[in-house]
Amino acid sequence: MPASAQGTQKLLDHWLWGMLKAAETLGSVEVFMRVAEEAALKRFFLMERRGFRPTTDPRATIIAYTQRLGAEGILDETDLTARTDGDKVHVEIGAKCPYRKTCTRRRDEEASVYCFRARALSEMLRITQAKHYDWRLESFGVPCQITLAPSHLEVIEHGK
Amino acid sequence: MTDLWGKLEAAIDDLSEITDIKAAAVVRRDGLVITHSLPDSVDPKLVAAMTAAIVGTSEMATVQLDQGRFERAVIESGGGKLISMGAGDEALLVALVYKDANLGLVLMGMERVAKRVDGLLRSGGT
Repeated sequence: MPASAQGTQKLLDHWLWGMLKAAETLGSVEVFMRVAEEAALKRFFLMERRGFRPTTDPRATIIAYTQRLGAEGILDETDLTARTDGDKVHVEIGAKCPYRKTCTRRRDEEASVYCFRARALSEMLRITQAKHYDWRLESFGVPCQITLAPSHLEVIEHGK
Repeated sequence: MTDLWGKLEAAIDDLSEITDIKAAAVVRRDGLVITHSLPDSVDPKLVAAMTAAIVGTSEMATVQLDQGRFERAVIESGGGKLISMGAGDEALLVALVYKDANLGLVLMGMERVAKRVDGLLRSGGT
């Protein structure tokens, strides 16, 4: 029987669950998920980024990036809103997030909710803005509320 | 770069002056480089990610094995040692050390700089 969209979603749910469990077991959730996201994004930008034009405005870049993902059928771009608050960006993501099932299961099992979308946006901003943004899941629900703020800890990409 | 970064860079430069230390770096716990004195032949991003993974896994191991608080990880190889430790909640300190290094001296120096880095990060460099 050919794979269905529903079946592919199930595969994603189980894979994400397994990845997070593995990262937790190894005690390296943040580094594992960041490195995985960085590698995935670089590949995405290489293969799928046509039409995505980041600007120096992080909010506009988040919207443009999300629209690019929507155009690829990866997620529903209408499900995300973002607003600027000084140098921070507040993002809200609704019920259609493809990771929602995994996060809900984590919450139901009293494990910490790790926001894959926030991780992706943080890493995307680091690549496009050449500036590190820390992310914080303010609340999990419908909508999920995320804050992205410039880190006080600057990082360097290459040698000194 | 900010004043905080300059002070962190100075801390790494001071550590690198210990004769037995080949190179050092301050990295974030999510595996990104803050500052380093690693040789050009080394990818600092890779070192940062591996250090964060080594420390994260080591911390988990000490907890799971009920051995108390993690202090440092020492990896020995033919070419020398790789020593990594926490530098507060946000950062890690890693040093590449010669094979026949005076480990006592090295560890004292690293612990001093780790405290300094922690202090700088807490105060924002002010």
